[in-house]
Order: sequence, then structure tokens, then C-alpha cells
Amino acid sequence: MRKLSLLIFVLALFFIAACQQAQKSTASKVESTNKVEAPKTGATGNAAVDAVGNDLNSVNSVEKDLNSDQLNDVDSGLSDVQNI
Amino acid sequence: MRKTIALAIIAIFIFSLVPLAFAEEGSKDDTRTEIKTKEEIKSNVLKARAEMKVKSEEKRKGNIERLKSIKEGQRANIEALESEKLDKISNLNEERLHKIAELDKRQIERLASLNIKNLEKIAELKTERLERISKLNEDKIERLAELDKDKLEKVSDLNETEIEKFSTLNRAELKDMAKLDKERMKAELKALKLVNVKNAGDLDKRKISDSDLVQLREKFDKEKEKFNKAKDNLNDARNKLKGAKDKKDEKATFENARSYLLGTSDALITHLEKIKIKVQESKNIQGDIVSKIVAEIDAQVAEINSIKADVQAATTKEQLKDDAKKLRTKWDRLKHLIRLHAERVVAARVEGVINRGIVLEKKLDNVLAKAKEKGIEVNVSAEISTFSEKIATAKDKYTQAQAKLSSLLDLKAGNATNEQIKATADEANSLLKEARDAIKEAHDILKTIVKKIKEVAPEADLSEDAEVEVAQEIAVAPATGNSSTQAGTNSTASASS
Repeated sequence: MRKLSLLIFVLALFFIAACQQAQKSTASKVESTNKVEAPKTGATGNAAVDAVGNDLNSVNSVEKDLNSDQLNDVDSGLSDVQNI
Repeated sequence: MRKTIALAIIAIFIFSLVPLAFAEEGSKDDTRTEIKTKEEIKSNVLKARAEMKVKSEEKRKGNIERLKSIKEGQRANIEALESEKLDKISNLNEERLHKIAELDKRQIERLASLNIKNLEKIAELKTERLERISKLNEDKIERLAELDKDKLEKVSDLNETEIEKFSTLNRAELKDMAKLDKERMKAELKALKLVNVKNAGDLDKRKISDSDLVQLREKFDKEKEKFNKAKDNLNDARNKLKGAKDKKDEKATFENARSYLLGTSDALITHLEKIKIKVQESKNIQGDIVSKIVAEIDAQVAEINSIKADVQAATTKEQLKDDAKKLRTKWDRLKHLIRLHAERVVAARVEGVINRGIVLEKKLDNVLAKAKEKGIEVNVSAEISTFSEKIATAKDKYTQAQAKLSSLLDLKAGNATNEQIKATADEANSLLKEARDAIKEAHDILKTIVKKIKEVAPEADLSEDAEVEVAQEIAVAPATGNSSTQAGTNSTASASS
């Protein structure tokens, strides 16, 4: 009797596992046929639009490069030399 | 026992096949149902199509019936239209219908592409005005048709060339110009030319080869490195000078003062060289202005080099003090000159981005027109109008800044005071900042527009080299040697004025 109930239990387990597997494989088949290719995404997906952003960055960069603030203390330095 | 185990294994194997069989059976059922549903849908669609065809034929007959009052020769042009267009035209009132019937086949086709509201508005125009407007392409007619009735009347009264130029303007410019009185509008249009361009680079004021650009950039990097080194030496010499003065070490004071003056000369020269290179690298500063700036910078560098030679030759403290005074006077004037040319370089870059925006608006129109041809409607008209307004604001601010910078060059030539130069440079700087802010906003809107377009038309490409038509200011001969102009000196853009 014990052996028989063990056997039934094992069979039931197999039955459940097999059912789930069968359901999964059918679902994945349906999924793969319905799958639509997602569009590629990028910063904006368009080089011409990104170029505007790059241009703006380049304006900031050139402004920084040509800024004379780094020479602000030249006046006081020259004044020091005039007073040696 | 062995028998039982063997039986159990076989039973397990057989039982495991059962659910799979059920699942297969289930999917077969689904497929059968699916096929059945598809067939039903197909037959319904065919039925609906047949009904629609009959209705459409009846409608077409009705529409053609309405054209009876038109002369036979003219009627053929309208009858040849697609059903949808025929429907729009034939439902106009008698008077408007007769006016349109007098046009040629292509003109009628173009007008029939408009939506009903715009078609009604355009058809209200006098015959000769309607004739002029309908010679434009669909896109341009559509733009004009969006104007208020009184503005449309005013514009349609212009001559063909003027109407062509007007309808090529970007949305915001078109809207603004439509507000002007007719004479002012004519004058403004006279100052414009139509240019066909593939990209914003075609609108550059001058062409620089890629190899020249690479060379200039390498040169700039070297000067930047030299400038940073000179600045470090400068700080070092100043600290040492302070230390020597504190210690009352005369010899060290003299040497460090000389070292500081040489460092200052080097820093000023390399900074000027940096600006010179960036001016040479600017595609939107005209060649003659570049030459003038370069000559001016070279002259300044020569003067600093002369002071530098005096410093190197100095043997007394008094001589060094005198050189320091000369260098200070030079720097006092030079800082404003540096600022002026730096702003000019920034302005040229801003102009480049504005041109990019102008061309992009036209390319967006092309992309939307292509999508429309394929039956894809993208609702981004509000966003494109805002984008256009932002670019127009940027252009306006840039133009004002450019005028300030030109006046600054004139001020400089007329020995303006440093305060005058500084005040004007500040104004130009603030205007350029406003222009850049407007472009930033336009860029954000552009991202939204492209996202929306890509959602419905993923293959749409703004980067493609399709030619677009833009309106540009005609070159104006400079009134003074230092005045800036809006002239285009490039050779790739084909223009018709």
C-alpha cells in the first residue's frame, strides 16, 4: 500500500511537471510568432539632431578656451613689477 | 520487485506523454479556430470593400454631376482627379468652382491636395491671385493657406517671385513677415535669395578643407599647451618675486621681475595666437574679416615681442619698471580686443547652429511630406511651429549681437574708449547667450519631434542628403571696411535671387 501511494505521488509530480512544460512550449511558440522587432533607440536616433547638441557643446567649449579670465591677475602682477 | 519497478518506469513514461498530447490537441484547436476567424474576417473585409466601392462610385457620379455647369474642356481636368480630391473640389460653391476650373490640371491637382478649410480659403481669392498662388508646390500653398484671410490676400497680391520667396520662409519668419505692410514686405523679400542646400554646411560663409581644419586644431592644441605653461611660469615667477622682495634680495628681485615680464609676454602672445587660430577655423566669419583680424593680431603680437626684446635686454630695475608699464598699457587695451574677437568666434559658431536649425526645419517638412505620401500622419505641427519660433528668436538675437560686434569693430577703428568697447561687448555677449538659450530650447523640442516621428515612421531620416530650399539674406557690400555682412561666399549652395 505504501509503495503504491509513493508511486501515485511520483506519477502525479511527473504529470504536473509535464503539463507545465507543455504549456510553456506552446506559449513560447505563440510568443515567438507574435514578436515584433522593437525599433532601435539611440540618443535621439538621428545624427542630424545630435549634431545640434554637439554644436552647442562646441560653442561652450570655444567660449571657455578663449576666455581671458585666466589672465585677470596680470594687472596686479605687472603692478608688483612696477613697484620693485 | 524488479517487475514492479520496470512497470512503474513504463507507466511514468506513458503518463508523461498524456499532457503533451492534450497541449498539442489544444493548440490544434486554437489554430483551427484561428483559421476560421481569419476566413470570416477576410470575407467581411471583401464585402465591406465591395460596398465601399459601390458607394464611392455613386459619390463620384454625384460629384461629376455637380460639374455640369463647367465648360467641357475645363471639366475634364477636374474629372481626372482622384475621388477624394474630386469630392473636395466639386463640393465648392459655383463661383469658387468656376475659378478653380480655369486653372490648368497641375494647379488644380495642387489645390485639391489642401484640406477643405484651406481650399475654401484659397478659392475665395480673386482669379489672378489664385492663379499665382496655385503655381507654387503643395507644401508652399499649404503654408500660405494657413495664414489669416487678410494676410493671405496681402501676400497673394505680391508678384510670383516675391510669393515664391515668402512661401519658402521658415514658419516663424513667414508669420512675422505676414504682419508687415505690403511695401515693407516687398523690401524685405527683395533682400532675400532662395538657396538650395543639402546641409547646413552649405550655408557657411567660407569653405575650409578638412586637412586645414585638422592642422588648425593641432596648432590650437599646441598653443593652448604653451599658454598653460606660460601661465604656470607666471605664477611661479610672481611668488618668487614676492619672496625676493621680502628678503630684500636685489639680484633675485631683478631676475624674477624679468622672468614675470617674459612670462606675461608669452601668455599674452599665446592667448592671441589661440584666438587667431579660432578665427581662422570659423567657417562663418568672412574671408576678408578673417584677414583683417589676423593682421591685427599679428601686429599686436609683434608689439608684445618688441616689449619682450626690451625686457630681455634690460640691465636695470628702472628699465624693467618701464617695460612693465608698457606691457600694462598694452594689456589694458588688449583685453578688450581679445574679448571682441572671442565674441566674434562665438557668434560665428552660433550662426552655424542657427543654420543647422533652419535646414532641419525644412528637412522635417520633407520627412513629414514623405510620411503623408505613404498615408502616415504625424501630428507634430505645434512642436515644429515652436521649434521654428525658437530658431527665429535665436536668429534675431544673433543678428542683433552681430550688429553690436560690427559696431564694436567700427568703434575700435575710431579709437573708442575701453569703456565703450566693454559696454558693447557685454551687450553682444548677453544677446549671444539669449540666442544660445533659444537654440537649446529648440534642440529639446526637436528631440520630441523626432521621437514622435520615429514612433510612427521608424525609417524617417533627417540626415539624408536631400536638397532643401531656404531663404537667405543677399550679400550686402560693406559700408565701411570693418562692417560685417551677411554675404554667402560659398560655392556649393545654388542660389536664385
